[in-house]
Amino acid sequence: MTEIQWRDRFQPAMEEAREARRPLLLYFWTPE
Amino acid sequence: MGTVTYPNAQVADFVSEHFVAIKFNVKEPHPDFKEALGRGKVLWAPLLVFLDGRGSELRRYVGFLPPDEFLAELRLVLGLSEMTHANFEAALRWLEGAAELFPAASAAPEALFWAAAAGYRLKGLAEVVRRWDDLRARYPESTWARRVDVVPDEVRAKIAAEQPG
Repeated sequence: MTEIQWRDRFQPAMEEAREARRPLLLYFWTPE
Repeated sequence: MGTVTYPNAQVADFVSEHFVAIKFNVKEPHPDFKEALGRGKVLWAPLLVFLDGRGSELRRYVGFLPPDEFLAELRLVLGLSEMTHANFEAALRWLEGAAELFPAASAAPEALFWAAAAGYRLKGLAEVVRRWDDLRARYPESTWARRVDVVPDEVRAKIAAEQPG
């Protein structure tokens, strides 16, 4: 089963999104 | 989101295929947090922010989304993303897909609103009015129906006069 691969750095993720022509999903969460 | 929506197989496949995803625990310091958040604040979590590849914000959503609602939301974002690139045919496919596949989702009437905007760019005034009428018929109680309840009778008469046959 596929799992979402969460990136951990913003600029590399932006670059990847730009190259792949995909939107970037930023997920801000809390443990509660 | 982390226990229900993201582990959902359809969600995981769709996000993996169409998005680049990054997450931030707002309770823990992260060197990229401020840059990623931009000028906004996290008033409540979960908060989802969608950016295009140039860093322009496409959309933000606060609160939990179950899988079907999230899948509709993701299609809406992809439609908006295509619109920012002036790919209106592709935008229509995503936006209409959101409403067709998930008609009960809260994103569905908004997707039709943006589909009408894309339709306008492709086919002009008669198309946007046709799509607005459809939106109002399908989701009469939605805020999106109220936002398009603006077509004067003289515009309708002009469109009717221009129809072939």
